[in-house]
Amino acid sequence: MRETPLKNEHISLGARMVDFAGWYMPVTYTNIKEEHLRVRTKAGLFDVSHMGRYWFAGRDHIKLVDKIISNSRATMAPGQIRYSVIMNGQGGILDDVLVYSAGDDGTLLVVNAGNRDVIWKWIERERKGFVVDITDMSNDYAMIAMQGPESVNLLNKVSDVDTRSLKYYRFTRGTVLGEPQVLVSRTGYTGEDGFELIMPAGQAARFWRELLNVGKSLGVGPAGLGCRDTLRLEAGMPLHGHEITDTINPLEAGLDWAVRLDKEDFIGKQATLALQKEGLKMKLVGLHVEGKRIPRQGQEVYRDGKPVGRICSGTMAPWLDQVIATAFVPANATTVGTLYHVEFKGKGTKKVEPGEVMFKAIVVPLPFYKRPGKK
Amino acid sequence: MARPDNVRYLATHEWGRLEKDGTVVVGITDFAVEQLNDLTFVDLPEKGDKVTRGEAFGEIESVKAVSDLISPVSGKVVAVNDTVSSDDFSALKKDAFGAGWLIKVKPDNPKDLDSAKSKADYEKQLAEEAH
Repeated sequence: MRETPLKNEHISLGARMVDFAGWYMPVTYTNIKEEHLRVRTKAGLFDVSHMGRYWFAGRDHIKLVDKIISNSRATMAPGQIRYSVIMNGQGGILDDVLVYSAGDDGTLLVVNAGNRDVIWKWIERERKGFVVDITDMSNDYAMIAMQGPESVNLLNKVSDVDTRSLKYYRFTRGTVLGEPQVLVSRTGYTGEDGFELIMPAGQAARFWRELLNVGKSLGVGPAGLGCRDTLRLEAGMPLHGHEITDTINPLEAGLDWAVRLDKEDFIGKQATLALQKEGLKMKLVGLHVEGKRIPRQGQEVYRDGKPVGRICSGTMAPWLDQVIATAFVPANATTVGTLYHVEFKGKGTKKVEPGEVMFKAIVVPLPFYKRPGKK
Repeated sequence: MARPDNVRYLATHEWGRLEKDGTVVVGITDFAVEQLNDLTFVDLPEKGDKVTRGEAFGEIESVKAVSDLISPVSGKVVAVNDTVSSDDFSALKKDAFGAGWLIKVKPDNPKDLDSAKSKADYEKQLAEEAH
């Protein structure tokens, strides 16, 4: 299993460690609910070093990036970040990524841990004929996310970054904990305000310890992958392998806003245009599920007693205290309030009485959760 | 938590204890509770239901996963822990081998339990799984 520079920090904090996409990672330090609520009310620190960080530079690098991503790189201002997907030729999603523009100097692509190798090979395949310099910075640098309303106060205590002028989905470089040139972005995967820091791998353990130490008085604590998943699901953010896969098109997943069909040709554009013309068959929706049971990935979604869709992700949402799920359902029945059902077969007897096997699942708007004050 | 010697363990982390009145109390181990961590739901049989050794008698669910509950004995359910059954997991978290029991079974054959693991064998299994 692959390890991040923070492995020993997690172990000494007593984290429950698991294999996540081939990485030895902390799933919880205490429990999902406590860590989830901490991020929503104070702030949590996440080790996201397992994600891939690829740096593009050279004469044609913007052209190459724009060939492989669905969003537009050429129209980005220096210091701006955009969410995008990378599609295959059939319009399926190979990964979702964050694209950081350093103007003409370069572009940073942050990719999912589980897709590092797939995307690297994809880039190697597509770069032919372009004058570019591509560096895999993933192992030389570590990445720590601080997420939650207290993140801004924590960052103010430890850095010279002007957090008032650093807007959402922007990045800058600053001195953090005495280390110059730390890349600080106002991004995250939780639905809260927060920052992600990229620092040299050798500094990661010191950063982790000092951030926890300084953050203690603000209520900051470590947060594992368990709550990362419940937080992102409440915030309606897709996870590759669940809401988005290499056979799902971004239009089906409701990611139209990240696909610039007005852009010059890019991989997946023709397939997406064809799908748009033909009309969507399935579309992603959010569901509120009655009861306490959690629908799992692949479970069928019923309408009028017939299976018509499939669950992507489900959880007991800790902040909402409600079972929520995402699912692909027929595109012509996605209106808020539409009634579906999911089935739970009891192994005991509690839920197998007639009429108690099918649980109501009602379409609700995505995201399930929006932080206060955010439009 | 010190695990008791007077219960027998299954590899799937359930335990069974033969009582003086001949019934068998069934629960899950502290290790199982710890692994499941964020418990959300449990589905237990009712009094009078039959359970079968080596087969699921219910399910326990956490935020991350659903697990079958496997019975160490065959027989008839004579009592169910109502606290746990109503999805109150506090007793289970505090005292998995005591107040957190799940069901009580009148076994067809009390010797069923003999094939389950001793505490030493169960702890050896946990040590092996940790690697």
